[in-house]
Amino acid sequence: MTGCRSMRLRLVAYADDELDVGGAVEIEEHLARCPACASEVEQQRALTRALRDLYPRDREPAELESRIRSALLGKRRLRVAALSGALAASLALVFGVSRLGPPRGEPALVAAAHLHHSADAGELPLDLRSGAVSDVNRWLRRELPFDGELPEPHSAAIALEGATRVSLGGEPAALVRYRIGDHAVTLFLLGRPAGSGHGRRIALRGIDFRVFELEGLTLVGWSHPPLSYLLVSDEAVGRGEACAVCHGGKSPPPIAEFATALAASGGV
Amino acid sequence: MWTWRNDRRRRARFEADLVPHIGALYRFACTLATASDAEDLVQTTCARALERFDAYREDTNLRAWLCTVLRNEFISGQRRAKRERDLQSGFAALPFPSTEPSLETLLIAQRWSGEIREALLALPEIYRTPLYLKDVEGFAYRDIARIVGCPLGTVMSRLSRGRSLLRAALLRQAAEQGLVRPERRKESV
Repeated sequence: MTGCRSMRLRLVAYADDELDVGGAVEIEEHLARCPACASEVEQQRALTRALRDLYPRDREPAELESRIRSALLGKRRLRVAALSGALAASLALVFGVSRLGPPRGEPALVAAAHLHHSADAGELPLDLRSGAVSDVNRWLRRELPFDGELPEPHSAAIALEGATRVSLGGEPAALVRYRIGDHAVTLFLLGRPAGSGHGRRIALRGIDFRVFELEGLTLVGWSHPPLSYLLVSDEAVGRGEACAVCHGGKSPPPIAEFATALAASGGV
Repeated sequence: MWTWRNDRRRRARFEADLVPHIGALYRFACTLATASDAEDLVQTTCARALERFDAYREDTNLRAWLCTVLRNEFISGQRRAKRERDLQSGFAALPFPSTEPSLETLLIAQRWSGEIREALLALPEIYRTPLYLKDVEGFAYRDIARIVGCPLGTVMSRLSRGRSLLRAALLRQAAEQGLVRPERRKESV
């Protein structure tokens, strides 16, 4: 047993999947011969699972974020709002979008674009990693102050990766990550209907879609009270394709209709 | 004119890089301090992070970096000498554990969420923090070593010790409640 004692730290690392292949193989050869060490590894992992699954994940107090925001950014807010009319106009020139909307709507879109890029680059840790829609829906019910539910993508080409809580324009929101082939698609859910009147408008089947282009991304927003949604993808995803994350199970017409309407409204 | 551009960058930085981590930072802070102090700690951390973003290297784990800032803020708020005295407990050689009843099955069956938290919070901080960061938050050893500022080997030995202490505390509690028999040896499931 004294030989086993010297392996203790390596057993911990093995249990945590932190050993390289050579080290892991060496440990596994030992575990095949040593029930006591095999049991120790299993107990380490069982405790890890128990902590991971049972440790309470309290939500932070509701006003913490706004308190921090006003403490760190509050004094400067007025100056930003006063100038961002000029900013919106110059952004419109840069991005070639005819109407960008009032300053209030804009920071949320910039944040959404930035979050999409961060998530795509693997820099945004997900609160929940799962490919199962039922897991994500359960997480949505538990974590967000509003009720959102996602349908099954119904297509092998679409991979659901997980979800995490974020803030868009000061509002709590859910970020749900998908991959279609090589392309990242992000769907944001917000617990309030979005303001209307900005971006390129596409009315389809009783829903007002608003389309924006920002930082090489296409953002499509719409409301379905009491929630609103923002779908973000890069322009390489043929415009209708990103819609498949929710509409993949239905017949093609909704996606084709949207793509047609998008083209007709002056999309690239 | 350049000041409002900086403000915009600062605001965008806050929204995109800090806000998604406020919840996790708060929960980590709650392992170090009481709830109201935890809120202040998160706020100070965000302020410090905004000041110091040029020190953050884009190829490292942002949440780990923020946790490092938070823990350093916590420590600088403590009196260092007292902290070190409290945290010094040495790494005594532990008897090698025998097979025991499946603790995980018991914890899950009894839904011991609160008990697990209490037991973790009762550990000395040098064991509590690596264990929380690894098993609850899922950080890699490399990130934990950075957050607590010690070598990888130290992280592993503290994890090993922390888990043993936590197991022992939970088993003791389970035995007190008659949920397991302490003398009995069973195959772990």
